[in-house]
Amino acid sequence: MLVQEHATDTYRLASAIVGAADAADVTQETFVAAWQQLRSLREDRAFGPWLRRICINRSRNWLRTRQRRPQAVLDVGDADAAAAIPDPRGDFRGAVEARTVLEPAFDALSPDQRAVLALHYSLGFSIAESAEALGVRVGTAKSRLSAGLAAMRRELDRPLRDVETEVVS
Amino acid sequence: MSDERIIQYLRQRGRVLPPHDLVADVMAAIDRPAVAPSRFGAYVPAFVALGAAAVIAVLALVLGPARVGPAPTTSAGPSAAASEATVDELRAAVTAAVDVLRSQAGVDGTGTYEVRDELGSVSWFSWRPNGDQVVVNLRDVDVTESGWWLDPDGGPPNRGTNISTTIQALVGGSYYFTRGDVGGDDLWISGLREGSPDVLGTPFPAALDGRVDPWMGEFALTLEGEASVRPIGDGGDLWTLVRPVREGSLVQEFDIGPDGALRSMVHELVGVAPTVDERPITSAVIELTILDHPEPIPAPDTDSRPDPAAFGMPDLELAPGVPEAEIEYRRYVEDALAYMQAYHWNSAEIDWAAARSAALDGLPADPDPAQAHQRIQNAIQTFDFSTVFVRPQDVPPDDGGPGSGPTALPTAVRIGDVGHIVVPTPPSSGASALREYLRAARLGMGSVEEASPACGWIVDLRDHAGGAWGPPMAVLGGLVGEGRALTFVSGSAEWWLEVGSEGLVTSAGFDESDVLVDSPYIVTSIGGDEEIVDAFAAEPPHLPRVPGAPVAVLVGNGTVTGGEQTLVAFLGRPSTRVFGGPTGGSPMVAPNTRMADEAVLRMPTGVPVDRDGTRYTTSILPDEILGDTRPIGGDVILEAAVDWLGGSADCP
Repeated sequence: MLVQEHATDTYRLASAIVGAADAADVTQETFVAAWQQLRSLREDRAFGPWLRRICINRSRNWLRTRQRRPQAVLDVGDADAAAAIPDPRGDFRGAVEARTVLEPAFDALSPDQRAVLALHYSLGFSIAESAEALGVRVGTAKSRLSAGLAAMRRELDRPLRDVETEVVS
Repeated sequence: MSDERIIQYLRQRGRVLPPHDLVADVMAAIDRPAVAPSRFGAYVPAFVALGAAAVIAVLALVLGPARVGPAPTTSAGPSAAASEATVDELRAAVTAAVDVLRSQAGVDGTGTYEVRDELGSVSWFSWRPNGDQVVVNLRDVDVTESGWWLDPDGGPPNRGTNISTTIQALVGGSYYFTRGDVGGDDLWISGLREGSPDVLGTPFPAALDGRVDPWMGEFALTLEGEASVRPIGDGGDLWTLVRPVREGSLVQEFDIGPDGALRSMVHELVGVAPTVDERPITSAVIELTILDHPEPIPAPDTDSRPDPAAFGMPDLELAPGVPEAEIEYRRYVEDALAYMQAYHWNSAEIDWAAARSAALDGLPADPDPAQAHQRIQNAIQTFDFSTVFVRPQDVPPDDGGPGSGPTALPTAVRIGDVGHIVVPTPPSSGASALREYLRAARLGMGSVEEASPACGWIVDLRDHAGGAWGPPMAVLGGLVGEGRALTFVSGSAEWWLEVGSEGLVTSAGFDESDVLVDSPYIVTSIGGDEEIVDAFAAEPPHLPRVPGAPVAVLVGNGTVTGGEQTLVAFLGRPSTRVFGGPTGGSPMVAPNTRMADEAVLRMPTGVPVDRDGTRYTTSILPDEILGDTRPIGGDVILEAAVDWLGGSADCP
């Protein structure tokens, strides 16, 4: 079944870009949009990359309409969001760090930076593959990748260590 | 924190498992688009949402034997369903939400505009309740203007390299604006138009002022269609308006927060292909932020270069630059060659094979910057002495050039019944300097005719040593006369200047979409100079009291580029005669083209053409060739012009 075949990959991509809490909604939007635009898909084009492109665009739109809003206080009990953390029992300190420090830093990135970081690091695409998925040049993908990591480092350098210390200790 | 830890975290983000009912929810959304939890899928009109069986059939045809269609079980999905609403209810809700914003101490907003999923422009604005506001717009010209969307398989050319930045501000009742950044000479023109525009770049500040409806934006719609509303989950509501547009629909969303304030607006064309006749923007998102204790919006310093950051604009990335480390210098050389071949005024006569050979033969696959720069200079030497490639380390900080220092002002005197206007090199930047230049000309010419009309005019261009064509044309529009006075031809493209009945000059015909070279390494390409044209309206020229009065134009070897182009505007004009020596010999437009590593390519591109169709590429000879005697005393050129005018029928 086509949806079944692509649902997990689409969900993972959406999750890597927008976060697990919104990934299901973005995944649904992606498939609905694909359904509506199916006639524009040429037979010689692969369905997977086409769907991936839609998912990326939907994720970026999703972020643009939401990222400037105040975020709710972190709720560790949120089951969907917790799914993004590998196994809290195995690495509690790492999980808390991911949730309280790294995730806000990632959330501060631009939609384009999030997308390229998600494709390259989260899903393991090469830079060339990431560039193709994003419809940009390899050089652009590289610069966005570099800028995205630099932006995360900057965010992490901000004086939020007291939060980290308080939670971890 | 180490990079390894960051990358480890990023990898973890991809290792998630979807909810167990994801496939069922997706199938439910597809199966029941009218109530689907998707933001857009829920609002697709019935005529767009095909029956499930038909869609399944299409899917099956296109995708082959894989099973498609709704899953056996359905789910309501994770979001609340929409409920129907009337258009009046939507209008009332949005109006009230805008009123909440209007009662705040300040509002910031950002707009994102896409053309078929390509980022075309971003804008930022800041608004205060006293009406002060600033709007900054960054536009990728190649994405928004080049018409690439008309090609089903096409993509935007030169994406991310041809960015136009505009700033408009309304502060204390004065309107400031800057237009275009071609050539990098942004200017502030302030308080010069009557009243203020209804809409500054993005309409939303005007909506906050109550001057336009918030929905009269990019898509300028009447309020009609199918309205609905659904709770978002954080106490806010998402209002949606859908109406059919050609083969698809337009979806407008208004996100109203729990505090009753409008948080964002989305306009999205779904299933509608842009056409050549309509604005290509297919998606617009405007996000709004309430400011609790905003600073007043500062009045711009009109004598300094406009700076969006001075207004507090955050970093908005429309097109990331190409870091030097990312430049592939062999391609850089190839692209520079392609650019020169595409835009050089004399391209058809140049041996480009020889130029390419000089540039590329023996060039390593991965040359260093110095090698690349040298090879471009070698190529230029094979065909031209007027094209210059300046290495990044040799580019002067302010780019110098005519008019960059203190400039003389136009002066006008009366000689008998004849007016004599001296039009020197104009300032190259600075709005106040430009205004002063234009105003001096207008007042001077006006004083000449204050007591009685001048029967003829002498236009003295002998000390017009370069600069842009804009200021002298703005000064002399009333003398040049109505109609197309000056045309520039560059390859297959052309643009021209037209003089209106009030002597105002406008530029037309230049096609920004005429981008012939798709390169990330060419930052600016040739183009019109709209900002100067805008300044014309700011300081309208003096209109001679005798329409069509005879004009004597004085030129010499100090008449260069902009001066020569101004001369061409008079050539072919009735009752016109040119006196003096041969002009400087550089009549062509030669813009500075910036490369990605800050090198500059200066190349003649636009050839001026007079109203009779004659092209000018070298020194222009006057009708009466006379030596310039000013250094040794007397001015035989001026005397000859006065004599000629005195003998004309208009100056008995």
